[in-house]
Amino acid sequence: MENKEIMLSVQDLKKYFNTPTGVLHAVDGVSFDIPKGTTLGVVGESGCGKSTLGRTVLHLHKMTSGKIMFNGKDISNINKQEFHELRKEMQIIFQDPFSSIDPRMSVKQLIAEPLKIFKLAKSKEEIDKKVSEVMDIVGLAPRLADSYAHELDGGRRQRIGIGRAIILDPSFIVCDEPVSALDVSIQAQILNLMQDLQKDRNLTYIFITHNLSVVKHISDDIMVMYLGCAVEKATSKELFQHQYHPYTKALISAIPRVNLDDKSKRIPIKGELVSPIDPKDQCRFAPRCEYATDVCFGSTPKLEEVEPGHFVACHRVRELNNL
Amino acid sequence: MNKDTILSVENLVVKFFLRKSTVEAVNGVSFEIQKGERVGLVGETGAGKTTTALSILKLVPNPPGRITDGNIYLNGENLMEKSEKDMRKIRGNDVAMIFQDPMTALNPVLTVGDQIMEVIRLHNDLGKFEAMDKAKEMLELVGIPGERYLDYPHQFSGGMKQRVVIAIALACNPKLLIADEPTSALDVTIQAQVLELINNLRDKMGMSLLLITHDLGVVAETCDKVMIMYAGSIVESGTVDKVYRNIMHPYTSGLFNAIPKLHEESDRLEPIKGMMPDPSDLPEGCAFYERCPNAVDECKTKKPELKMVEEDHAVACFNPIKRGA
Amino acid sequence: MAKSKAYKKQELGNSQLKMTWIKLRENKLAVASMFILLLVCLVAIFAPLIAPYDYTAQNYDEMLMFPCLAHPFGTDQFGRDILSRIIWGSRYTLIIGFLTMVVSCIVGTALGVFAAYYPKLDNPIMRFLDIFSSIPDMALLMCLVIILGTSMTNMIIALGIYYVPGYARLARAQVLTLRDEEYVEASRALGASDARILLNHILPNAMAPIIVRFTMSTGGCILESASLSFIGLGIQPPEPEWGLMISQGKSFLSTNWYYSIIPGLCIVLVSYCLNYLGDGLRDALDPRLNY
Repeated sequence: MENKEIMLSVQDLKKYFNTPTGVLHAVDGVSFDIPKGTTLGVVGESGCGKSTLGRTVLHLHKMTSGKIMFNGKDISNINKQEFHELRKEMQIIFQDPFSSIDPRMSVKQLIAEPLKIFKLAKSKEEIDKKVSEVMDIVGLAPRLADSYAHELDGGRRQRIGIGRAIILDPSFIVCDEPVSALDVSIQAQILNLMQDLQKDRNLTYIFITHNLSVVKHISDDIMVMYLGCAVEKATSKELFQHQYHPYTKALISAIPRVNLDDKSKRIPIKGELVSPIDPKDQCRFAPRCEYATDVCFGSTPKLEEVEPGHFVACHRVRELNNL
Repeated sequence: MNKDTILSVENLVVKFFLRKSTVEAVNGVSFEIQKGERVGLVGETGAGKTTTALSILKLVPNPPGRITDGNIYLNGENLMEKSEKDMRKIRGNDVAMIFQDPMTALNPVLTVGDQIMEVIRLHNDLGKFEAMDKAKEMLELVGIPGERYLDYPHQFSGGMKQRVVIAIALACNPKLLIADEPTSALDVTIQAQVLELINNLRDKMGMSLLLITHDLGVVAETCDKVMIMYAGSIVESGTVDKVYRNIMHPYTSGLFNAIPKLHEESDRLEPIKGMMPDPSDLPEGCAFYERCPNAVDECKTKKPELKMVEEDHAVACFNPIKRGA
Repeated sequence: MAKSKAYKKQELGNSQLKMTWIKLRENKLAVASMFILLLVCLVAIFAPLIAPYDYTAQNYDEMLMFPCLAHPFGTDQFGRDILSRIIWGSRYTLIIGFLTMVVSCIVGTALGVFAAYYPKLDNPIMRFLDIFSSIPDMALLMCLVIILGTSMTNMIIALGIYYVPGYARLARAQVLTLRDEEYVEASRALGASDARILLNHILPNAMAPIIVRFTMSTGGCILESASLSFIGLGIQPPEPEWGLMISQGKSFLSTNWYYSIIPGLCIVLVSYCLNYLGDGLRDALDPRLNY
């Protein structure tokens, strides 16, 4: 993995929003690298800043500070024109296949829109040809070309969303909860499709979700976020075998188990997510953490490598896990 | 039906009469819930779970929906013969319902205390102060400090709001609580808290629970019995133990296989091929026929009935999965 | 839940426009209104062919005649045939109603869209428009007509200005919600320009209530123009504008009631039809009723 080319490298990315009650630290100093052709899973509960992270990487939000390198090129401060060209390379798939699709456009129009925006097709025939190719790839029957989104179900709508994202042949896609609104049987179809696409086209994904089983299935590396900060980062396999951060432990233990014989204990966490407005310089998880001591309230912990390739941001990680 | 049966639904049929088509949302569903029992109703979007639940309270939106056949007995009384006025007495008092989205279930201009009190005073002959005390008690019961009685819904987070909704539902000691996807809008850690709360309260108050969800894991952790619903019919039902350990219906098996496993390595998921049939144009035979790996000729023309295959385990299938196969 | 999923293979390919037409067809009142309005349009277009007499031809032999075979709607104090005047007058009514709405709709919607899409323009535009809506309508219209001078063009301009703030506010409210829709963000992520987003995604989705307002206010606008003509600030005699005809007939109300009542009924009929059509459109354009 170390030898692989890095597709996207993000360093100390911050995104603050000004709100009437204070500065909201949506993403607060997140760093990661994604090797080409792999998937980084970003997990966290609502309000942890995972969606903002994905959108900031794509310049849908203007970043507050930090550095984003794409294919070895610094794209942190490039202007609109330059980024416009980059959009061919960097795409996004949205969560809600119902609201992310313009109800007044037909399937064909929707999938063809990127081609029109970038004026990539010379003739109507070329557009039609490209669209039917993409429809075939994402598994939409040709007879659906003239139908409208309100006539289709969630799974098919999400296929449209994927078709729109891949028609420009990008190398990098941010997937923002692409299967959260779908039923499990359809979810499995879409996940398989996304994996196939990744294999065929050597795509790089950021896969944002709150669903831990899904993220485990699709990701090579996983980053767990809590209130704008990354609290734990490791390969998917490693993370589900050993969790070192108290939050990750609780999160994984909270998933309802299908297996009746799995009697592993649930680790409860008290309270709920506090607001990320003007956070104090302390561990963000400290107020809910049963192991929190004075040191946790003293400063924000940094991600450190506790085992090869396994990063944790916790002051007490070594003593709690006997490392 | 024995005397411990709280709810008994017999051959319920609900249809929605639309502009051009008739949607057959629920097609002959029968089940019973005993006193203190926790029953999970599992199915995908459009399977008819919510419609079934709304029918029990006779709240199916009419028009376009109508209960066209079947009987619903609550404590031995047939609800189909009750007037709207009688139903109002039953709703919230004998049967309470929790809806999916806690964000929209509370009135933003009333304090949570007032909203709990409203239900209490609707069904009990209590004075204002007695009701207020009772409301505070309910808040404490769901783990919210009593002094937050005067707070407005926007001052609560999602999980706390769902707790308030539960407090309202339980304020009149219902015999049956229907929870329609009570945790789908919540994060996993909060979901765990809310499910535990519902479980504890059930133990404390002894009511029965009908939990509607699409999450097989939630059922495994919360329920005694499970019913799997597909295209308006129950395809498999029984105790959680029997069903989960010995899956017999191909659809149930497909559902289990489609979930990404936490503790197993798998490269590819096994989705169920195709999609649910159009509920306004259901096939003549088994609704799962088109997607079923086990289909035999009989499935195409005849609709399978829900039949007991072992104790506490029923399946509606002509060619169920054999154990060990 | 179950019903949102229902679709049939043969029904695929129904655009929202087609769905709207299917639903509008089911509203009998709206269809009847549309039919009547179409008839009025045809009458206006073919006025020279239909009108039995010249609308300015005075005939002192047949002054103030009650409705009869030769003059189905009677004649006025100059012996002019009222039916012919009504037929010719429909041209004024329709042109005024329609042009005013087109002008104010385009200007108002554009202002509202810009105010909502570019937050910096929001306050300047909306506060400027508030000035117009803070003056009582008749007073505003009278002032504008007096400043601009009495002519048909000026009356259309005055009425247009009067209707602009309503459209602007409606369009602004629509765009404010649509601006944050995920599909708008989705096309931004695809690299779409502001112009493309506004024209292809926001405007088409904001149109439904604007179309409804268009039909509904046309009726109001016809009434306003009739009122202006009635008080002498609109169309000038001898043109056969309906409001003006009511005004001219009012001195004969006790003896020749039909003179005022017939053009009055025409105005009522047209504005009723526009309202019913607007009502029907509102229901038909509501995607929540799309089953």
